[in-house]
Amino acid sequence: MKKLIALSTMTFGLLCSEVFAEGSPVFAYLETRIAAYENRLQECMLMGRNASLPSDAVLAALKAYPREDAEGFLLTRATLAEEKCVSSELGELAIALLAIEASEEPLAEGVAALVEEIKPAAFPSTRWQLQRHYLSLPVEMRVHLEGFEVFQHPFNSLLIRARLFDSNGINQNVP
Amino acid sequence: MDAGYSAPTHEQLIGERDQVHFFPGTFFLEFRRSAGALHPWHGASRVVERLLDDGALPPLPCQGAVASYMTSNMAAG
Repeated sequence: MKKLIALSTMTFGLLCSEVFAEGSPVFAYLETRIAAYENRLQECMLMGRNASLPSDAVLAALKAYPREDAEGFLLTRATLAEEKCVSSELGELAIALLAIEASEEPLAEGVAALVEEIKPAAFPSTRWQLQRHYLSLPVEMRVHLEGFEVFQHPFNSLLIRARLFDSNGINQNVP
Repeated sequence: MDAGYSAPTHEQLIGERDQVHFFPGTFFLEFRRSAGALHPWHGASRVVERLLDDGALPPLPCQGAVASYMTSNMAAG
């Protein structure tokens, strides 16, 4: 009976391997691209999370705009800065997905499933929504604030927002 | 604006819970975490970490095949 269970388990394992095309070069390639994006994304998020407050000049520049616009800028710009930080790996993942989908060879079921799962996870509709929201912010404000180096790399938008607007913040009156 | 485009609300931009599903980076990492593919959660934002600690993160709807793949491989391995 134990042998039968072991054999069934092994058969199931082999079936799983076939279904999910674990050993196929396409699957391995896609997994490599996913892992590269995931690793870089974590690095970029960590950079943003660990970033210190920008200079008083930057805080004052933000404070000069209506709160809703400044908050909108901070949160959408932080996403775009993160996107820029991962752009190489995200681009390679996008190329991999498109190239695999465009392939004339029939995709193994596991590869097709992985493509279908990863695509909406890596490219959710909110990517475009955030970009559009950013573009809807006042142009003069965007141009002015984009001139600060701090907004060209991942930054801690929540920390800046708390510093500027939290009612419990210690230093609300930014010069 | 394009037809069908809905701008994020101010609440969506600043709401902590919404950020998890609204911001692509945290969404992707949460997807990978929930699929069992992401082990040390060292890159999570403090918001995600707190929600995870609180057990407040709902499961994502799109984790089927990857989760099955991981489960199968862990069971087989």
